[in-house]
Amino acid sequence: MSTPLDADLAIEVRGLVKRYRGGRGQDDIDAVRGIDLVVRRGEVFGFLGPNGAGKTTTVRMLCTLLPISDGHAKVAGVDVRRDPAEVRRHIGVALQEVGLDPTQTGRELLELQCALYRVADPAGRCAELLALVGLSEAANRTIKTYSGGMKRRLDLATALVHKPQVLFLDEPTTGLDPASRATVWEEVRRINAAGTTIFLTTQYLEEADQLCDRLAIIDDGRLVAAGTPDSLKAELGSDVITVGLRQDEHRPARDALAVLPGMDHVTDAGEGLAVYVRDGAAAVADVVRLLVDAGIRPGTVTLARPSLDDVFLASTGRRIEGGAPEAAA
Amino acid sequence: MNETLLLARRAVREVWRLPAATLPAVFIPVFFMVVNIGQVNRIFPPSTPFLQGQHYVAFQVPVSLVFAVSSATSGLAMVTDIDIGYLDKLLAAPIRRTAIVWGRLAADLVRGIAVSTLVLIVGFLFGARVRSGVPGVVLLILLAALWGVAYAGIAMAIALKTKNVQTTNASFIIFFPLLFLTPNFVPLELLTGPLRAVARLNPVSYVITGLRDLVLYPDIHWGSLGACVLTIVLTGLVLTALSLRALNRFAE
Repeated sequence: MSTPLDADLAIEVRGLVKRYRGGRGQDDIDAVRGIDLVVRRGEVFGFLGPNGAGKTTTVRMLCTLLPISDGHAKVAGVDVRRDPAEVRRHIGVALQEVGLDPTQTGRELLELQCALYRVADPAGRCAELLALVGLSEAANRTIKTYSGGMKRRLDLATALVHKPQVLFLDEPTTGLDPASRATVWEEVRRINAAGTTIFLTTQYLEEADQLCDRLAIIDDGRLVAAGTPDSLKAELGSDVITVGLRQDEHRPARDALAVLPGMDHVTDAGEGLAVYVRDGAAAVADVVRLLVDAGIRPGTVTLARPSLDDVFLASTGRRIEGGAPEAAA
Repeated sequence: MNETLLLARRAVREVWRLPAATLPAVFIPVFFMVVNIGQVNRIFPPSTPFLQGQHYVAFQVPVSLVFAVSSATSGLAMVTDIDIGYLDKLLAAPIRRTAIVWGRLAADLVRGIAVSTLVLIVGFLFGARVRSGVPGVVLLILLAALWGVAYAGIAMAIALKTKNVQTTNASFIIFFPLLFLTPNFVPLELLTGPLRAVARLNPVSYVITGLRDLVLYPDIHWGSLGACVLTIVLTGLVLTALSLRALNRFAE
């Protein structure tokens, strides 16, 4: 893969570190441990990881809301450490907490945001954004009367008033019902189609799979994998047979499966084993036979193409907790 | 429009839409004023020398004014902004970060004027008169409101430092010793020695005395008025600087 030119990059991060000072007698804590990544202009870039992996900390550093402890970051071509004020002119931010004043109406809040960003035609832009996020009719109601989904959409609109080059969305669908989640996904696609680069953090695998052109997986403050969703899955090169087992059966099952034809590798997968094989459909019967011959009766056997969760599992040895939204949209 | 004015307008709207956050600040001082009058009106009749021929309520009005405007309301609003994530939104916007504090203080000025006017009206209803006339009334309202602005910095600094509603609310308690270690019931000369010494060191004494002279005397007492203005300016400078520093540290 050729290295993109600087002008093509919306975000460029080298050796990014966030270090929190430990309390009295305690060690410092590195929440982000030397991340390198690039996001090209016009991309939807996903930042996937479990809770506490360092996603929000990274976003807050890139949005100038947290000082960078070490490393370099450029957003929209501007050095974040050197000129944070200039970075703020080019970015839109919708953080995990929807930052909306409940005592204002949707229109008042958007108009204030337009005025703070010195938008030329605040009333026109406000009407345009309200229509975009489907809140024109609710615009004159105070925000405290809005549903969670409406608040999230309004929050998205407030991040767009100045047509930012780069939009940061920190877990934009966490806590939303499936219908609201689908609406937000649709908005994200529409905003991206209009030319805005989107940096999106999520703990939902399907969200990353559906929305992102490329993604990076972060765990414990470190990047463990990066690429397009398809290339990451293809790198695993195998189908996954997940076998439900008791904990005490893991070791004998691994031994029994060691002779499985076409097997790539086996990892622990919560309450069972994930068996990576070249031809899953052909191998299922062999897996069951080998286990039964060893005196092990698997509780469940499932066959799947590799998912991003498998990519995460292969990279970290764990699955993402809460990685699946309650229903796919 | 200037970003400070934009944020002030938002804060004023918030005050207007959440009267429950401001009304206790009016009710408690008015309640104290009424109770105090009821208790000591006969002890201090209008013939008492330091009352200058007025009812005791006139002596108490400045205390109630200062009490009413010295609230933690802006600090509590700041904690709410932190909690709901709105402060992050402002910090990520291309505005001067100081405007966030100045906007709140500008709204405090508007709230202070409204609250002071209400307290003064109650004082008038109980028989108080402002002997320095209309200029005195204007000065009373304005200076009381400005004191509220000056004092608001402490609650905002605590809010930004602790990010905690209870602690910020408790900052209001700091004001009680400041209010009561003053010549609030009788003039400074009548206080006992130790209390008089403490009251002389207490900046709130100079604010109360400056305002009180506007109520009791027909002509402006420039000495007490100057001390009052100087106290407000110095308090404002120190506490606003503290809150601006707390905001910078919060952002870092």
